[in-house]
Amino acid sequence: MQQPGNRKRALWGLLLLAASTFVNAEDATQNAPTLVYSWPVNAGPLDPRGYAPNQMYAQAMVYEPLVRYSASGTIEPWLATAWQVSDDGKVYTFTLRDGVRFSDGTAFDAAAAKANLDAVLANSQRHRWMELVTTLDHVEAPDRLTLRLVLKHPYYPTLMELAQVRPLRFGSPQAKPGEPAGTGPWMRVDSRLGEYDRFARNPLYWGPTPAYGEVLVKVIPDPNSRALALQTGELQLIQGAAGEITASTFVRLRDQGFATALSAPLATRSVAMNTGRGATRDLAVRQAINQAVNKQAIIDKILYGLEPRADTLFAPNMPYADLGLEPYAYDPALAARQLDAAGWRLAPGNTVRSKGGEPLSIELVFLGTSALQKSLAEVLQGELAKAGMHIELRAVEEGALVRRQRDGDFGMIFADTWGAPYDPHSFVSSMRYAGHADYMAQRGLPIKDQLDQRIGQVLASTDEQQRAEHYRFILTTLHQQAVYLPISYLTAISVRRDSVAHVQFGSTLFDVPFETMTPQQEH
Amino acid sequence: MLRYILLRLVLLVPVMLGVSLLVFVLLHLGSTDPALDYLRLSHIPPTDAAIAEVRHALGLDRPLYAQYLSWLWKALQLDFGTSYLTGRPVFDDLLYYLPATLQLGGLALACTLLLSIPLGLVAARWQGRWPDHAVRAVTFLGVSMPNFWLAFLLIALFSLWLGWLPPLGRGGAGHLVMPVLAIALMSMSINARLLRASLLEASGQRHVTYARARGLPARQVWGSHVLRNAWLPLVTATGMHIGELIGGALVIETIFAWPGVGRFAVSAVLNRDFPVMQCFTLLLTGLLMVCNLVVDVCYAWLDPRSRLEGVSA
Repeated sequence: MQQPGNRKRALWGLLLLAASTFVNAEDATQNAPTLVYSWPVNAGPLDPRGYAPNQMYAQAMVYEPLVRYSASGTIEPWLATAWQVSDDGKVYTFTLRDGVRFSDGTAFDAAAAKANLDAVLANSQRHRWMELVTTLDHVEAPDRLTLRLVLKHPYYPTLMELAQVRPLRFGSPQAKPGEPAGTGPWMRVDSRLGEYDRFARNPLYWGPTPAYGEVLVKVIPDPNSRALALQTGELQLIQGAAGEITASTFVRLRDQGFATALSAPLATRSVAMNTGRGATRDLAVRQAINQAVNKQAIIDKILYGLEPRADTLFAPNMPYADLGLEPYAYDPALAARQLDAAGWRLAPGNTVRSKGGEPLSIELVFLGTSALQKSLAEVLQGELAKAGMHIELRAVEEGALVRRQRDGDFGMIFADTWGAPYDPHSFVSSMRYAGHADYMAQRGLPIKDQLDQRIGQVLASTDEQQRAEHYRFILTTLHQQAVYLPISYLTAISVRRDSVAHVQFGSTLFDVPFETMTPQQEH
Repeated sequence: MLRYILLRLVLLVPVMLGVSLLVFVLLHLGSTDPALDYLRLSHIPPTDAAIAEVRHALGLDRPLYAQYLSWLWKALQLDFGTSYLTGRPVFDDLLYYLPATLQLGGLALACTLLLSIPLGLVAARWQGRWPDHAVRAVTFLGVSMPNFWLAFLLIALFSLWLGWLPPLGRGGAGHLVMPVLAIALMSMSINARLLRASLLEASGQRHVTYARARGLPARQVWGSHVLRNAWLPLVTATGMHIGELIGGALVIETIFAWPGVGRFAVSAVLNRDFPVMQCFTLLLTGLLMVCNLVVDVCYAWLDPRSRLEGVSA
């Protein structure tokens, strides 16, 4: 009669042991610290090839590229450990990393990679904004770890475009609807519409295990509320390049002692000038505009000194852009002399210069709903008025702005570059197509045809040195012809509480590397 | 009475139709293009080809009348289309977010009534004395302060300095205090002033003087003769405040990251998400009309004179 009792006790003991193991396992995940971040909207369905409402920061957490774009503008191995480009530049052969699995357990191999890229090609209409998609002819998977991309014609930015957040990253071909699975360090485990998305670290991740067990992303649309949430400890980190908080709030938080950081330049805030219409047809006027604007004052007064001054269309840290071009220094006197020499003279009693009866009046078109563009436009108007140029401000809404860009219906227009990793190749490529503000701005240049030809050549060039030479020609021409008035370089901002350490910036406007961040004791 | 209620409910149909047409036409005749917003949010350069592609995908390239008729046909089957931005069914999302807004709006309404009635009574009962002045000061502040500013002041005080309340999100009772106060303060102030005025007006009427002359105790004079008549404007105002409370929720939900329809609608307006804006406007119209009906019924119940007029109407 003793035995059944013993068995019962043993059974209970086992159950308790199992329960305690379970509780311990639960504790292990619960005790791994959670990083609390915020975003204005939910992360979306997390389709590796989806656009809005899929949020790029979240896609970058879950899905990984074949190669990665580094902050210094170079390409690093990622899901591909090595690659070869054929001599004619049309075949890219990648060796895939062995042992990589999607978070649902499916192996990442050449077949899985091909399935993803084929899905992009099958829907190429939707993705044709990306030149690689229209250039890609087909994809081959000759063996388990070899992936071959065959292009219709050579296209050097292939690797740069493979590095982008979408649509050329890889999701599990076996993923069930509503359960996205990638190879990245994170996987989404929970989401509540309008409230939060919760990411946990991917237990099958091939790389180093992130220090945080979870990243909780709260949905907070209002920038002021976001700042208050950081101050009260509801959030630990504010980071991004999409206006997460205003510049003044950033400065206030910095002054209050929060740890803050600014990234390296990621894009350029600039104004394009129409070389085919009005006074800006004249090179002397465009150069004078570059000399007459006190950019540093604009940055100090409007941008709270947070963005570095831009003297060239692309920041020197962008690929092929470190050319040592001589900046147009702020020199109103020189601008005035140059305008005088070009025949734009100031008649006695007048405040606006004129030439042959044509007043030096330029229409500056800006997005009326953007308070920042409005402030910048007003300061530009004031600065240029001192040099005898009349700037007519034209606030328009977004649809009208795009129409004016397309039709070239502007004297000057705000035209930021697209940022890493689109700069310089995608941005330069778009300069060839009517319908882009840049094409319309440049079409008055006497060497526009030659410029477009060189852009075509640089994209198809297979020789590194030749490519650098083409870029030197293109960027030097645009600089000397003063087609743009670069103002400042856009940067990402970061504000954190002391509880987060090792905060780094992503290499593009869109990613936040949570996997490098570590928790620490708050003072 | 029942006939009157039914008539009013039937009248809802043409009003909703008219509103839907008006909103549709106003949205689509503007120079705004939701395709541009979609491309901006997708970080895709807005080339002509890309715009055309998105316009086709969103069905914006069809003639306007065809768009409206197809929308209307589906709407009659309670299918209000899918959001341009999230790709999710609009009606489902609105129903998902509605409880949070009703919770906030309902509590704000309760708060408005619970606070404004005692304040109005105190102010009228001690007219010209210090309680009246104190109530006037509070209500003056409440009427003049924009709700979003009040919201930030409340967060600064209760979350940042005192650390008593969570600054945002939806959760326990603590999460409700600040948003409800921020939404309710203005309606509460207006109601308190209104009640004070109508109490004073009612107490000056002849039947009240006669009641006093009959030697009725002050409590009975106030309860049966003054209050009974002073309620009426308050009922009307409360009906109107429901619209204000929901309007307040638009801003307040965004500030407090409250997952309600208000914040959903604000994001739709900012990004020109037409299906959401249309459905939200209709929902609001229906809600306000039903509220007005309830107010009218309450009115009839409280005041036999209007009941007779209502029936003859």
